[in-house]
Amino acid sequence: MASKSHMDIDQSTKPKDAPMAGTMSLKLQESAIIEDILFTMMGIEGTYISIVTPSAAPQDLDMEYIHKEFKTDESLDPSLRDLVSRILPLASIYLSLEAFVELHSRFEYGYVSHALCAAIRNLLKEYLILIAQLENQFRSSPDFTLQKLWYYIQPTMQTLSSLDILVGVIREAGKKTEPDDEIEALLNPKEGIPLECKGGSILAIIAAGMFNMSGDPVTKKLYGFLLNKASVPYINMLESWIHKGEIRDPYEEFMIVKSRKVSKENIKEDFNDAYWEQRYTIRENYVPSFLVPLKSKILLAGKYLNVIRECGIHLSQADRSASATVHPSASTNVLERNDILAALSGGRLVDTIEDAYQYANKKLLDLLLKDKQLLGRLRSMKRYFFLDQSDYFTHFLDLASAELKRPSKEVSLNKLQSLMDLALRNPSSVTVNDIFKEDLKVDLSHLSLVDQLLRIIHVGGLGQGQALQDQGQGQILGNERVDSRASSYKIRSHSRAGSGIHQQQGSNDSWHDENVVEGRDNGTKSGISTGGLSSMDGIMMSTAELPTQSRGPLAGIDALTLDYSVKFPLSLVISRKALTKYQLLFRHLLYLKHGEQVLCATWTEHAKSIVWKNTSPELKQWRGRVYSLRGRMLTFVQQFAYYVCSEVLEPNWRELASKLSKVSTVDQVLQIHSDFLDTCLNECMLTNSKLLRIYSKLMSTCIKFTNYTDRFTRALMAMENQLDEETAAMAPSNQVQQIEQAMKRLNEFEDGFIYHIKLLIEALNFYSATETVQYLCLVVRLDYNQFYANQTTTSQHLAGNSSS
Amino acid sequence: HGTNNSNFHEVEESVLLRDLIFVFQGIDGKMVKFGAESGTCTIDPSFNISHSTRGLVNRLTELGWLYKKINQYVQKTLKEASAGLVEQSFCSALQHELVDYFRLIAVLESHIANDADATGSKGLTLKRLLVWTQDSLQRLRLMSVLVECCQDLQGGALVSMVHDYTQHGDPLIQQFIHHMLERISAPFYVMLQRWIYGGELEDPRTEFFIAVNPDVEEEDMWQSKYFIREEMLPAFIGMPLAKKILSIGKSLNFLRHKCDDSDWILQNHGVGKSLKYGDIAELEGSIDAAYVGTSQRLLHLLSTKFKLIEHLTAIKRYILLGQGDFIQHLMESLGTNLSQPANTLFRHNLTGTLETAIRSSNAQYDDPDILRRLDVRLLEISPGDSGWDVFSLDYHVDSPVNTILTPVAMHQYLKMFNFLWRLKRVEHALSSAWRRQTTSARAIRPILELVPELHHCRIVCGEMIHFVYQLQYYILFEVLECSWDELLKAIENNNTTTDLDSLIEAHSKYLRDVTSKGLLAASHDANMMPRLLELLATILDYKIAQDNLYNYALAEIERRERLAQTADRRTRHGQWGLTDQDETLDRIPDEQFEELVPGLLRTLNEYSMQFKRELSQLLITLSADGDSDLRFLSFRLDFNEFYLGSLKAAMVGGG
Repeated sequence: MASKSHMDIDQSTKPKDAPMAGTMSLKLQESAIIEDILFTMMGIEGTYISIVTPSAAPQDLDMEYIHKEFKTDESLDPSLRDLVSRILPLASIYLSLEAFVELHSRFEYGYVSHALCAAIRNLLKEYLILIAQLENQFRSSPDFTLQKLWYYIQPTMQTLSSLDILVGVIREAGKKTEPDDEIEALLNPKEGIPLECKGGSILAIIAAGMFNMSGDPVTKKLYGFLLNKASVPYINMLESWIHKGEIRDPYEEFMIVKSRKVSKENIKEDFNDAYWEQRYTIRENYVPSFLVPLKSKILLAGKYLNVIRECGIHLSQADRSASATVHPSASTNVLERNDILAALSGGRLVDTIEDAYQYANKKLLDLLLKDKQLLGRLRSMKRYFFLDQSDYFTHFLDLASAELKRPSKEVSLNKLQSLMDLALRNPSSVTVNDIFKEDLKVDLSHLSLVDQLLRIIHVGGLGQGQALQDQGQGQILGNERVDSRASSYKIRSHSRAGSGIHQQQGSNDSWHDENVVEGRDNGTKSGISTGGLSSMDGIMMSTAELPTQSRGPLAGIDALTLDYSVKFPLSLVISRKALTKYQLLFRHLLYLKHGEQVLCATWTEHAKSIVWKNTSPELKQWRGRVYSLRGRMLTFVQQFAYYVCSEVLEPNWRELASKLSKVSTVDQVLQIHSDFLDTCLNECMLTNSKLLRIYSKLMSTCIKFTNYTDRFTRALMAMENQLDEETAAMAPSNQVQQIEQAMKRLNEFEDGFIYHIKLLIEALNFYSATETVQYLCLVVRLDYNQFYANQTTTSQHLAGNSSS
Repeated sequence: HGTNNSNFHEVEESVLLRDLIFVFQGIDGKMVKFGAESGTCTIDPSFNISHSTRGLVNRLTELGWLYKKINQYVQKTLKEASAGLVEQSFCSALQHELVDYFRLIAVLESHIANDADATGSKGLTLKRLLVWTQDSLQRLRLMSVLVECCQDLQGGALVSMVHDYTQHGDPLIQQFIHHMLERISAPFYVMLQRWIYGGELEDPRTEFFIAVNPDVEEEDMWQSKYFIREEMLPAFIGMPLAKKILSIGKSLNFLRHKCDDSDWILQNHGVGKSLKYGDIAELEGSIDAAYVGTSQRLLHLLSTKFKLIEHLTAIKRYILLGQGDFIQHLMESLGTNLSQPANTLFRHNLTGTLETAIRSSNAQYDDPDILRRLDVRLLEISPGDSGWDVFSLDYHVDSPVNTILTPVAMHQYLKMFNFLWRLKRVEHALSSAWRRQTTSARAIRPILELVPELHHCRIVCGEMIHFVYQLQYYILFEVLECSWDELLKAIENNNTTTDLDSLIEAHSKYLRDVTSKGLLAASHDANMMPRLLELLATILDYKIAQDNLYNYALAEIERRERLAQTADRRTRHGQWGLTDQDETLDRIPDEQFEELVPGLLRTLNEYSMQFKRELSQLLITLSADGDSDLRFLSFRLDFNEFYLGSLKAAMVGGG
């Protein structure tokens, strides 16, 4: 750091009159050469030993490292000369080490370098002291010989040459600066000191050296000493990270980086919860090898603390120490204490990290579950999205029915919102006591439920070679396809170029799985770069290519969906992705409720209209067919809704609640919640395109049937007229046509419905083996008395009947 | 002996050593001399000294060169009268280190002296000198670097520059710099201590990061008297902490000068506390403690002794029309007065009326101190103004509450009052119109020609009443009450309101909310406010026109009654009840029906059309506004799409 400018002495003033060493007596020769050697060992040219300046380019930074050659006077006694030439490497090593220390104590090389240099400097000082002692010996005792000198410097020689090897490795590491990737080179324009010879990498190099040389106790001890000294700043950083969540890393040498671009505000908008993934990341290649097994714990500990801090909660020191005493170094058998860790900070490090991890986990969990009332929040979401105690919603649908009948583009969102507010604040409703009701918003989707689901499944199923923008969407339902535990194998087995989707899932799951650390960086990176687009856009962009189930404008009721605004720490759990799943489930339920509602309206019509009531006996059979079809449809819709509510959502939610009350880490919370949603989606059969298609056919048949109520009524009137012969004669011809058409439609409805419901039952039976057993419950509900199973013949009979 | 191995008569090592001792202190030796220009040392080449020894000596002379450099700086700075306190302490720290260095030299010299006596065993050699001076060399190097960097730096900037050098992983360097910093920053910490425990700014050389602006008026003391000088902020004190520090001192000054509470400061502050460089967390801790202490005291005083909340409540009740019965009384008793031209109004009359209104409403039970502050104010009169335009209530606040309720804020309140008062007046007018309709409905029923017109009047009035009520509802409940609730929460919640600044912020947010959602802020469409005022004016016009119609109708009824009485009288006298000369009994006379009545109806119709037009325009502006509350207002005003429908029809018709 200090300039040596004042030392530019004139080296050329070489004493011309130095006598040839050979001319002197052997005794004098020896003492002269010892005098010289002592100077040379300090890096100063002697009378008979001179430096051969290497012919390297002077501007090269490495110039100072290059081991300088020394030349001994030719005329010296050959055996002395040989001995001298054995000692001389020490001098060149000393010079090289000096240069290294000088260079690497500059600020830009980082804390660890500084500490290492300080340690090396101490060793060099000992070396100088040794020289001074030797000189003293040499001067005081006349029988000090070169042999003795050689003997005295042995231990030091070994130390210094070990040091030299280490320094050489560090220096080599620093040279490999060229990033292999051009893009990376563009992203990180020449920032001076390469990471390879900074911070964690240095520690890794020393540790590797210690490991490799562990056979040699002296070298091992030396490396242990260096590691101990050099790691002090690193350990400090580590502790400030795991205890306070702060990164004190002015020289970018720590294993964890904070990305400034990602802020917590995005998380509400962004589909891929990039905040949680990207805010803090591990510099994968620069983690000291001894910390690799612990790195995810280290990352999470600090990350959790940061979440807590961003919520404006101050972490008090007293609190921490109190909790530290609670678990007095919880016995951690994560990995055997090896020498490397022992050298670091007396082996306490592992315990410290473990404690910090537990503490951070506990804190964040408390924050989420107690302060932010995660469970209450989820309960309120269940109320709104899963319609338990949904009196408010009936009220809302009644209020907004006129508005919702319009095409979705003409529906006024403001109006819906204010009607929703009205319904929510109705003092007779349960919702009035819900403290979170302000967060509920009404929204309109631009896709119908089935279309959206099919699109998602389509994307998820395509897997390989899928357009980039779809990948994010694929994630939503991705988890069911691959068991999250088994996925860790998949990551490894799939080559990188293999299925992008699987990697994607892998990266997602591996985040929860602490053991899976490899393969994650690939996955994450590709996930970030590709999934970075909001997947909502993904849907928009892929609209053109993908099949659309229903044509024509979307009605308001089909587009209606709810939205829920979630504040920051909770949005980690209830992310945009989770919210979309909630929305899907909600719309599924809404669709069923709507079907039930319109079928009931048909019933009302049937029950109150005089035509239907007083049918002539001849037409009773026809009326009966209409009634029975309506009845079957209603049963289907209601049973389905019951199934969804009481056999899927309710038990799963109970399970979620009980699991959440016992949870001990935040990862578990995330895992449990997303498992819950996935299970629900799966058991509601929203993830299987085949089932979904059949289901949507059935539902649309039901709704179309209700739309035909009027026509059936008219057809019935016409038939009544025809029975009455007098009026029949006068009846306009189109009446006959009308009757025929109605007959045809009824047949179509009956056939379609029965065909599809049988298909559904079969498919459910089939998929219950592969996907979930829960489907069998639905089968039982839909066909509790084996009506459809036994009906093969009757339906044919019916069909034959109607055609004749 | 070392020297006897050379055949040449070489300079004795001890002589060289003696020379070096001088050189170490920046003094030329016999053989080793400082160069004139570069300041580096050279050995006189005429002496016979071996090449290697020269090299060694050269290495050693670095010490002298460094010493000279540091010493120069110290001398120069101490001579300068303008040197700041921190700079002085920097020099003293350097000198302190140099004293250590001198001690080393003295020890070395004594060894040489010994050496001279007993040449041999334990003497000093050049090599040994090199080893012994290693530590000092490193220190001197560091100091010289510091000296180089800190040239021309002052105060906080100097501290923060030195502090940058703690960012080094070498424990030795860290320790050394830390030690230096403790000395260097001493004056800084003394200033800090005075500031956070006494609120005094003792900063003769303007080195502290808080500065005072002496020209600031007493009123703006809190806002702008003290400010942060960023370039003097030491790196280890972050901006949030600096703001806290600023706030502490400000609060102390505020307490002392505005709240007359210096006793508390003397009693409670800075007893036995001393700050010094070291643990930042500890510093933060004590600053936090002081911060919380002062802020709490200040807030406590404001809410108890100076009744801040009471004042705010009073403003809400009187200026923002929260106290309904009082406003009702005021409106009734002032109504007639205010209809007169503005220049005939006298403030003392109005003050009297105000007093009456207070006495006759629940306001009389309010704190007399608050009522005393309530006053009438007449705005500037421009020709043609009526009393309504210039009348305004006013509320006086004094120090220290006026730090929060600044004149600017009070002006905002007055603007708000003006608008609300106008709205209230329209409501008043409309309710009197309604009363008129209801009370005279039976009386004027016989005029059959006017029945549809009067019915139409009622419909239009109904529309207007709906409009005004909804607007009032919106402003009073959605805007005022909601914002007020937020304000109260912010004041009472100790987490958010930590000091006076956040209190001021909470209040100004309240005011901002009120004015912005209350349609007064400039952020809205520029047409919105004029349009609204126009609408209100139209309603008043309509009311007058309607009054005229009713007056006419009553006159007509009176005429008919008169006629009927005459007829009655005549019949009693045995004549025909009606004669040809008399006008008809049950019809409006032709000449009136053709001239007077159509005029009346036309004005009515015009105004009602104007009202509709303006309202539709307003709805468009509202629904285009960025604020969702305003969009809800438009939805509320047009809940059944009555105006939207008519607007569409008009557009279709027009297109």
